[in-house]
Amino acid sequence: MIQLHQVSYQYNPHEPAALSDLNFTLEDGSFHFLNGPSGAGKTTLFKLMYMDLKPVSGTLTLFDRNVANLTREEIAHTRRRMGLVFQDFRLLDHLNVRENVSLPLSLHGKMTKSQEKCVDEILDWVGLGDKLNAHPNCLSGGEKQRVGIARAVVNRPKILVADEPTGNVDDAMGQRIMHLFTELNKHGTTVLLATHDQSLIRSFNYPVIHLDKGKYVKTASIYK
Amino acid sequence: MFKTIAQSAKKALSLKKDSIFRLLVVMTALLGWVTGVGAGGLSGLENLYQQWQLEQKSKISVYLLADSDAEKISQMKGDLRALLGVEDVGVLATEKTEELLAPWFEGEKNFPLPIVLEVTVDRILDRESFDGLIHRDFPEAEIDDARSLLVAVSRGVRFAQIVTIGFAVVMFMVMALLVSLTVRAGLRGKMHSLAILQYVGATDRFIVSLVTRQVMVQSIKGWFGAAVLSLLSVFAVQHWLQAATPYISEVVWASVVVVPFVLVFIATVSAWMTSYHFVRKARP
Repeated sequence: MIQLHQVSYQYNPHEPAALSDLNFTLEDGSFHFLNGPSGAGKTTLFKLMYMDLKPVSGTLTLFDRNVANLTREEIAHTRRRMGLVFQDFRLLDHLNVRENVSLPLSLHGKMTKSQEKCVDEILDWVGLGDKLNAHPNCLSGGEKQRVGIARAVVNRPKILVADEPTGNVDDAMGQRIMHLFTELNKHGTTVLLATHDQSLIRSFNYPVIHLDKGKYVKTASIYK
Repeated sequence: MFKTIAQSAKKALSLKKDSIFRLLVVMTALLGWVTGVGAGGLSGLENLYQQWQLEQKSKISVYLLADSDAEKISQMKGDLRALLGVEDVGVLATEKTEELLAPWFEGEKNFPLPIVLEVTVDRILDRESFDGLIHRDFPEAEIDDARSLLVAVSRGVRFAQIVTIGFAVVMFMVMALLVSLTVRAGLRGKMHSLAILQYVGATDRFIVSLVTRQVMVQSIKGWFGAAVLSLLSVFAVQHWLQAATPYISEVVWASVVVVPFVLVFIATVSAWMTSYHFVRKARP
């Protein structure tokens, strides 16, 4: 469960709050879209969720723990249970596609055969089965995005937080990625997906959280 | 701490390609070589000193006047032999006495030579009883006492050893500093990789172990080079400087190999501390 209670964040005390008094709960196994104009605070909310930032006030609860009270070690272990998809991909250029995707699994020691197989299957699924040894600087934006998605889902996370995951891919691949997320969600992963793509939101019957100027506006069950 | 780490995480934070990190092997080899040769030299000097000290302590020369009574000398020799700690008593040959005293009596051929008794003793000798026995029969006898010389040489040797050890400590500090700067520079260049590793759930301990392990491997390579260079140096000394051979003991051979390994330990600890502080400062 992800729970936000009066969560606020301010980058600079002299500027307006990036997020103010957010209150909402994402139940385990739920799927939500996050929507709002540029500057609404979507990325800040994501940063709070993956504990890159800590709320200035309020309580953010992940896996029944207040993130403000987590130690560095606990933050790392919490992140292992999460999948993060970044808008700017955040891939390592000196690692090939396969190595980038297997990074979360490699933290547990030597990879097993089944884990290696899982990496190959996911890469196959996102259409990069023929680019296992390619390096990110040889890939298009869409391909990089798919590598980032494969890395986020490879360890079957309990929570998936994705910032514009379909922003750099064509419609067909966008739909394919959405089906992957849906499949993960069916197996119990809580998904929060930020997107500007109204058609994508319309195609899936999931609740939408609207943010505007750092404030929570509403949760619509079906976008209209 | 050093459990098997999969290739991708290891590669993500690989510092091997940083030229400054490569230099670590060369630095360890050179510093290790100097340290190894220093340690070998120190050990050899200790052997030389111990051997010389033993020689000085085991021989006592007693100078009697030229006209001393031969019968009394013979009787004293017998008494000395009966003394605990005296192994042998002999009279130095005239030629050897001349040779020994030559620097003091340049050109003087007619000077009456003293009678020199050479007494071989061991450690249990009671020096006071020994001196008393000689002065009982020959109050004017001069007993060659090497104690002041021994003290002076001992101080000199200890001073040389302290200087060498001080130099080694400076070397170790230089090594710790070099490793610290190398690791800091390496990690600064890998901030992006560090952040991504943290996003996928790498703990501080995991990152620190990745860095420490790499430094340890590099410094072991450097130590190996240092050990080879040091061994070759000792071989060269043994080959070209025959006089030094008796003092090159097993301890010398061992110290030229073992002492540079301290650098590996220092490098590892320094890498661990530096990376720990660096990672702790970085946002999780």
